[in-house]
Amino acid sequence: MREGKREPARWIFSKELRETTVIEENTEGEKMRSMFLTPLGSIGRRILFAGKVTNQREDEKSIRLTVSDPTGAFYLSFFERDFNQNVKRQLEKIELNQTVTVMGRVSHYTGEDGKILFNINPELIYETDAESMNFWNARTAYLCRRRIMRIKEALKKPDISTGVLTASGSTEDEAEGILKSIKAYPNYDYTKFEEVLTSLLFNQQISQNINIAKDGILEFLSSHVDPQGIKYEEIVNELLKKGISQNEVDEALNVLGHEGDVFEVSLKRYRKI
Amino acid sequence: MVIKKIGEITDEVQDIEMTVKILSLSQKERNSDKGNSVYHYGLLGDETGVLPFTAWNISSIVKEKDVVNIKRAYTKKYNDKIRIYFDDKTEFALMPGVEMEVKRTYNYEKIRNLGTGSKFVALEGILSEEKEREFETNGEKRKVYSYVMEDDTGSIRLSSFGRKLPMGHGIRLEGVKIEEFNGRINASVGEKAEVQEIELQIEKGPKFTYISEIENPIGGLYISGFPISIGEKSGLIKRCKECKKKIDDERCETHPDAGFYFDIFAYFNIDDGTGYISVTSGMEALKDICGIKSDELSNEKRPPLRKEIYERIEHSLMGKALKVQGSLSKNTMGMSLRASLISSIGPEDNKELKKIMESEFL
Ligand SMILES: [Zn+2]
Repeated sequence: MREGKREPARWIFSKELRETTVIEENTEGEKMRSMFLTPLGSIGRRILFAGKVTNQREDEKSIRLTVSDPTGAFYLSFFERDFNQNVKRQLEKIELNQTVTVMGRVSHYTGEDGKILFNINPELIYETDAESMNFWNARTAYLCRRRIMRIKEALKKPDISTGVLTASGSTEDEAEGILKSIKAYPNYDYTKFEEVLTSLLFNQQISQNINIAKDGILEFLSSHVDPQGIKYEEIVNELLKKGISQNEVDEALNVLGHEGDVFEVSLKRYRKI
Repeated sequence: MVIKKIGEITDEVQDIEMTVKILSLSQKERNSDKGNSVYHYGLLGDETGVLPFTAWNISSIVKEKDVVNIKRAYTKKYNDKIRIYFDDKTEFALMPGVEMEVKRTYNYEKIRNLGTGSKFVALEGILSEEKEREFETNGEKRKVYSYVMEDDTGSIRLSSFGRKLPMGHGIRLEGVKIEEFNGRINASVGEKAEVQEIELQIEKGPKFTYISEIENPIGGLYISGFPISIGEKSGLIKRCKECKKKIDDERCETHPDAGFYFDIFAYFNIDDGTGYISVTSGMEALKDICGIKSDELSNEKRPPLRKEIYERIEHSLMGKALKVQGSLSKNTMGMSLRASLISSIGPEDNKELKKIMESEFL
């Protein structure tokens, strides 16, 4: 099973990949290898993540999935010609709204507006559970915070070397990524990313299902405008169709009220603000 | 002049008199503008302790293992550690016939830092799982007691020659020999090693580690992550009834008539975000998470099916966040973890892990 040194799989949120604008090109023998270099110092060609399948399309030639984490979405595609029967067998078991763990290779292309877009070619995809997803979110947030903390330390000392970073607890490739990303993203706003992580950690007990319930409620309230407000029962019935329980709707309504997105017009009648 | 015992010397002092045993004596050449010169260095000690020395000048009558009275020595700190120095004012007088029992001092180490570099150390921990064994040396039968020694960073196997050690209570052992054997770190103490009961609070159970922080093949650890590949030969295996070894063909080569029984085994790579490591696991580690019972394997009316067992193992491991407890061992492929228990990450584990991760940012 051990085929020599395996290329590491980076645990990163979709936001970190989405904000990546730098691709490193290295020639390795005959081959040209490209690696993403994220603003938070992750370098690689492979990622590992957990999330919920929020979109699924399939035709004769390919299977395409959108998998959402708390910061956005990853786009996966699998082509028949890839002929990895094991991955294909696992992919065929996956359904919409299931939670999954994915490890895959990252490829990129340039969009019409010149932006770099990423696509994930799954090497492994399995159904997972809520606690596994919580685990992935927490560990990935931790690894992000750790890198941001070290980036900030490194920014204070312009001559810092990988040696200094590894001595203070970084792994060697973490240190290398940190130094490269500082050069490649001179104006990156780390504070914004930290805010996302803080709210993510704060909201971890609010499960991913509730986030989905929130979106569903907002969408429903947008498309059903009533100055008197929409009845609670109607909202529950609508979201039940999406597989969201009444408890999760209650929780989501509380959060939306608290965050000021939804207003209770009169007892158990809701309107979008 | 002040007369000092080695154990009393904690600072820089001039003009000391001491009676010590020379434990080691080596010679080194120094090249400078003034030409080449020779100096000596080594270890000396008395009943209270051991210190290193440097001799810019030493009487040629002094040899290793001699007990010597030394006048006009001095101490200085070197690299923050106290060292004794002799120069051309220092006087040496041999003390033939004087016996001296030197108190050895050893560097205290935590279990997780027990590399193979340090040969003798001091350890603190709690012992459990005593096993008694007899062995023969020079035609003489002796007993050896083996234990699991645990501290707050992990555990190792410890053997004690000829002497039972107290269990279930904090102890400090001086002069523990550290060796790597069969890819694992083993510790041992002789009958004369000093044992001291101490107050020690240790949270029992396996200790958390990130894969990137694994350095030495010790035990008593756990890691948490996602399996990223599972070995094709995982699943149902046959073992020889006689020697219990895995059978690759139809029968055991050494015991062709012994027959076989079924067992399960799985190997996979697990990634925790900081790196990955290979895990091997047997029935004990797998039975709970895979829901495989031993009577299923021994049911002669409905023998277990290879494909089905593989799929059950794959289904219960792959895609899930796992907590893997066990011991590390080193082989030609690198470090691997021999699992003693594999479980899926539950709410309590997540809570515990968050606490560990948060503590880094306080
Ligand atoms: Zn046999």
